[in-house]
Amino acid sequence: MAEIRLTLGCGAYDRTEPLRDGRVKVEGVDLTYIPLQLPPEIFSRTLRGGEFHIAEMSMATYFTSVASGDFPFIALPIFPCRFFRHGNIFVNSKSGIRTPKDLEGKKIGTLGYGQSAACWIRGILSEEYGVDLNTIRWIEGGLETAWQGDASQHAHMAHIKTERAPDHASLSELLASGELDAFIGARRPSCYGTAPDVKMLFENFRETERAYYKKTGIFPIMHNIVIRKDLLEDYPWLGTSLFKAFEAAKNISNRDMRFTGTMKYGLPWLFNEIDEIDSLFKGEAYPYGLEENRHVVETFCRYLLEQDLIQEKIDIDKHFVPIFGEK
Amino acid sequence: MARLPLTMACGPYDRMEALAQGIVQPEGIDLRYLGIQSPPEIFARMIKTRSFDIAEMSLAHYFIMRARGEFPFIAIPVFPSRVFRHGFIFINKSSNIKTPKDLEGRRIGVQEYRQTAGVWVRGILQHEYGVNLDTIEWLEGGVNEPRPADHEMDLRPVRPIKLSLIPEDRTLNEMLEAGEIDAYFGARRPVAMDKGKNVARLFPDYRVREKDFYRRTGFHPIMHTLVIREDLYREQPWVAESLYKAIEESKRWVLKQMRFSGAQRFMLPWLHEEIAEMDELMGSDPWPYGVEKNRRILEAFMQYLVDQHFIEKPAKIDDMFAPIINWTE
Repeated sequence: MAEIRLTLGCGAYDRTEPLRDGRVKVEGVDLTYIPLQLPPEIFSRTLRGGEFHIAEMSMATYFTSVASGDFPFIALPIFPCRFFRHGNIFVNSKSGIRTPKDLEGKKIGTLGYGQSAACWIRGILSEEYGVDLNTIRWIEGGLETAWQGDASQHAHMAHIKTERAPDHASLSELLASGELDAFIGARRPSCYGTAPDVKMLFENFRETERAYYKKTGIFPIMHNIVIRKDLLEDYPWLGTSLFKAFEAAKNISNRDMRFTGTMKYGLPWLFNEIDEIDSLFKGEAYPYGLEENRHVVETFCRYLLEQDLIQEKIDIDKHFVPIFGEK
Repeated sequence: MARLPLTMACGPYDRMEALAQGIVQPEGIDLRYLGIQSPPEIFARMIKTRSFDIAEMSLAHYFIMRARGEFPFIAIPVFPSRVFRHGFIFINKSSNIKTPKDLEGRRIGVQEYRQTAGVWVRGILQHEYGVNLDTIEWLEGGVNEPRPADHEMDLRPVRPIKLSLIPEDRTLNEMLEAGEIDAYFGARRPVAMDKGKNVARLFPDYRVREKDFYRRTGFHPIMHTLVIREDLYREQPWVAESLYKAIEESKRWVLKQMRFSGAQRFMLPWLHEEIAEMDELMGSDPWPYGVEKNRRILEAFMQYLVDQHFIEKPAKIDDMFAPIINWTE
């Protein structure tokens, strides 16, 4: 039987492991899974190099791209990477920042204004804590090295006023020395834990994040999966087949990590952690499917609009491949 | 160059992933890795049918059989499964068991009396809490599914103890829920803990107790080791060191991978906090391999086997493992 040969660029996640090792097969597809740890590498190689048929994609990049015009990819409602982000706000305590409102009028570093993590953090600061984002100066730069950003990725955001960090310094150094008041983003700066003045805004972030989830039902989505549109024109069945395979892979991993005879992952309190997750998330922390995630995706798109990353409200149904059949 | 084709059966662990996928290759070996989830399946297939060249093995089964001098396998000092066990002691809520000492004189279920998890729990009850194990009546059987007796696998103590089998169609889980046994401990969690009404942990604060136990003893309890067919090892002694090096490297690979903070490798929303807690408690190598780094815990476990009448006297730890040079420069 002739199968179509497709490549997937995606992180080496547990929830996709059965796809990598071949335990789960995508119907009609001979899949080459290229596991890449660095999400920005996957995004860049997908967008600029067109290297993969199917790829993990920053959700902020996806929606800003589809909003700005013709984009050769469309999303599948598969969300391989989610993160609570209250614990990703770092402040220099000499700046006098004690509460979220104290961030107003301050200089805050980010790896990129349009990074999904930064969009979520700004949205939460504004919606949950009433922070006026317009008062903030955003400084873009490299976290541990001087700026290596890719200006072309942000060309459509020319109207947003961001500043570049000095060429010689990393954001982590600037935060440690107090030249930046705060930093938000997907990574933890190395100055946290070494520079005495650098603290988390929410030191008890785990409790804060749990309370946030209980209140909003949102476990923030960082990445979705995209597929080349021309493939779907040739093979309209592909979307549902891929969705089913990702879902099956995740179900296997969910089951395997709950096997109590031994611990799949080398974390001494794995089962304690799983018990906590199960009680908070009712057994499924990483749901796939548009309906299951509609309020999360809609909230995120509203944040993009509020933050000037897109100009008009997005109809999210137009930007996900419809999935049919039983889950 | 021809590499020696060998087959290894072991759990689908993160610390073995690089080895299983071929990201790390043992020198001179063309390894076929069978990732099998059920440890008892691996043990039984290795012991009964010699199905594999290399296999994960119950530490209790291995030490008992090797000390008795009748086991055709040799271990390398690799420990793929460790689990703290304070959280695996379950009681019937009506049994009026409040403290470990209250377990004395009771009827307690175990999956296999010789199961490593059970040896650890008994050792901890005796040495940490002063429980007199000789007062306890043991009932052996399947935990959540019925399990027939297996005379080749079910090792017995050399002195008589109060041990009987539950009926072949019953489970320890249902007997614990019904109060027909007072407690159960072992590697598996009884379903009634989550779905029943009458089962609780002896130590609800087990996480705190396990950390305290680790701080005082340095023990992160070893459940399993890894064995090689001894005839293979006699013919090709270099395979032990090749495997050890590759398995150590595989572990280091995943310890690094799971620390990547840009995304969570595992479906645990607070994975990185969990890692930070582990690092703070256990330092840079939470899963140490090698005899020297594990000598005290292995000696303690050997003593538990003597205390529990499986062997008459402790065997020398160095006689239990193929020597590993672990050259570094």
